[in-house]
Order: sequence, then structure tokens, then C-alpha cells
Amino acid sequence: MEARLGLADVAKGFFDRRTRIDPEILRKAKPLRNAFVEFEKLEDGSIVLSAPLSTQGSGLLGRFAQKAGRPDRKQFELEPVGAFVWDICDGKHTFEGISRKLRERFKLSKVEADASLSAFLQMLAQRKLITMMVVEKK
Amino acid sequence: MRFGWYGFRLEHPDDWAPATLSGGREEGYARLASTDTISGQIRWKTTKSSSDLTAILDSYFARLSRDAKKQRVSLNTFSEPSEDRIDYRWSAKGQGSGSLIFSLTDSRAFFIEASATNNRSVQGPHRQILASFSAEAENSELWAVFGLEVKLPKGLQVVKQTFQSGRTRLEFRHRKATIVAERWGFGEQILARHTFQQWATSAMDIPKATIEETTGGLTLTAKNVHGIAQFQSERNQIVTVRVTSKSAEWRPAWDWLT
Repeated sequence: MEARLGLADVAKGFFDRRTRIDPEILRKAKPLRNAFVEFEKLEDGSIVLSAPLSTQGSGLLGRFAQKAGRPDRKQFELEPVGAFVWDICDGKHTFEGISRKLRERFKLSKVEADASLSAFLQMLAQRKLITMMVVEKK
Repeated sequence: MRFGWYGFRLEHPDDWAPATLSGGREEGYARLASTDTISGQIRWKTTKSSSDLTAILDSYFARLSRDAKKQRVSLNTFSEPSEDRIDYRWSAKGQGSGSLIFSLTDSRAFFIEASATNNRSVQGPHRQILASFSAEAENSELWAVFGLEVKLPKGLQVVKQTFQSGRTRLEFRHRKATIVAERWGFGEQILARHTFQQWATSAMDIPKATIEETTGGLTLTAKNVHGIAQFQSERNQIVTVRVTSKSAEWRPAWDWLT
């Protein structure tokens, strides 16, 4: 049966392109760093990410930058806690596994680690810096 | 994890967190939700004596019955009074298992209940929170929520609460003082970037404070404002308490930080 959407849902779906993931699927999802993102570790433990502008938003800025002969990459700085998570976004660790490592390393509670990690990964995914590999329920 | 609120405390599973906190000392409600279908609920109400418990439970069941009718399901209830409490169970669309107890120390009736929105067994979680439940009889009360644990003088009223990932803040009001207790996660990482003194004056908003370093942590003093800040390495967190008061009786003490 086709799902019916109200006008509000349609409008929300148009503006909000984020994918809503079932918490159970999220726990088993494996974040993976996107191959086109270059990164450099700094002495203080933070990491600077560099992604092509063409991968950000609609890619329009990237095309403008190329035409204008301006740098066509965007940089993001992750502080040491974010850098710790970035390091293990290798497609092998699940959300649950990364959360456990966060709890051990930074002595966080489960609720706190899950909430921080979920928000952080969502931010990385929105900027197309990682891909959340999920196993869909059958 | 420990939860302490308005003079009572209990231990709850690690994956439960406060989802609703309402009311005050006389009457209120706290719901601790898990990531699945089970949650813990504490309701409290000032009452004259333990003989009122049956009437309080009847009124609760009447409310559950009205909710069940709206959902077009029937409500089944069971209660078992004992010397000091009434144990009860209910089932409708979901189910609950709880105990209604009367606290002699402060004349309040407490519902301590675990409930589920489906058929999962709730008796285990109910037993767990009930076994750890206690109402305070001392002159100080434990406030424990989202990793913040402070023991403050009795009789405070929460006026503002902020729960963010990595930061928990409770603001209390008393006739003679305003108290702000705060917990910051990632303490070690904060102190790697700032000196403790710089951070504390800024985070506690006491820019003109005279700072003293003691074995417990930092004490900050300014006109009518006194604060203490402690780095708790075993929990990688910084806990601060700031008191604004003209009264000399109201000064933060190290034993407020548990």
C-alpha cells in the first residue's frame, strides 16, 4: 500500500534531506570515511579534513571556485575527541562499538556517548565526509 | 546509575535517562526512559499518613482506566497491600509493575513503577529500582542526574535545568541564595586546552574572582558570589557549584561534591 504524505510531510521531506534511521539499525551501522576526504593529524591530537567543494551541498560552490580559479576544497577541523572518532570510522566498527570505545576512553555514560556520537556522525554524514553503511531490515 | 531528585534517590540501569522531570517538592513526576520500550516512573505527593495509600492507588487506577477506555482496551489491575507499602500491577495496551510507599521522613507517598509499552516483563526493573530507592532523612539532599552528583542543603527548589551532551546544569533557588551546580564531561580534554583557573572563571561566570587553589580544587570568591570547582579524574569530569548570596551561611562546601 502506498504511504500517504500530508503537505507538511512533503514540505519537511523537501527541506530536510536527512535520512531518518531506526535506532536499532543505527546501532549496527558502520561509518566509513569517504575516499575523497584527505586528512592530516596535528600535534595536539586534532585532525584537519579537506573535502572537494564539489561534494558539498549541490556542488555549485565547487563549480564557481573552479571557474574563478579559487581553492576548490573545503577544510574542517576536528578537535581531539572528534579526531578519535574519525580514526575509527573505518567501515569495520559499528556505531555500538565506537560508542563503547568512546565510553572507555573518555569515561562517558552510555546515554551521553550515544547522544554525542549520533549528533557527530550525523554532522559528518550531512557534509558527506562519511557514509553510514547500514544493513536494512528484511 | 544514580538518580537523586527532591529528596529521594535510586539506582537505575545505565541505558536509562531522565526523559520527564516535572513538579516540585510537594508533588511531582520523573520518568526515566530506556532506549527500548521499558521506562521507570516515580510519582510523589505529600500526604498526611500511610492510611491514604489505598485512596491514592485507587485514584491512579481510575486514571489508568480512563486512558485505557480512550484506547479501547480493558485495564486489569492487581494490588497486594503489606505492612509498609502496596505492590501493584496493571496491564492494558502496555503493562506496569510498581509499589506505592509512604515515606515517614517527609510525609510523601511515592509510586515507584516500571512500565512497558508492550508485553516485556517489567518486574525485574521494578525490583531493581525499588530495592535501591530511599527518601533522605538527613539535612542535605542528593541531586544526581546525567552524571552530576551534588549533595546540597535541604529545601532547594529547581528553577532551571539544562541537559546537554557533556554538560548538565541545575539552577536552584532558596530564600537567601541562588545556587548553580554544573557538570562538564571531557574534563581532561578541557584542561588540555585551558588552565583550570582561566576555564573556571569563564565557565562559572565570576570574572573578578579571587582564586585559591586547594587540595579539593579551586575556590572562587567575589562580592556576594562564591564558587568551587573540582576536576574528578576518575570520571573525567569537572563539577562546579556557584552560590550567589549576601548571607555568610551560604558558602559552597567541598562535601557538597560527592
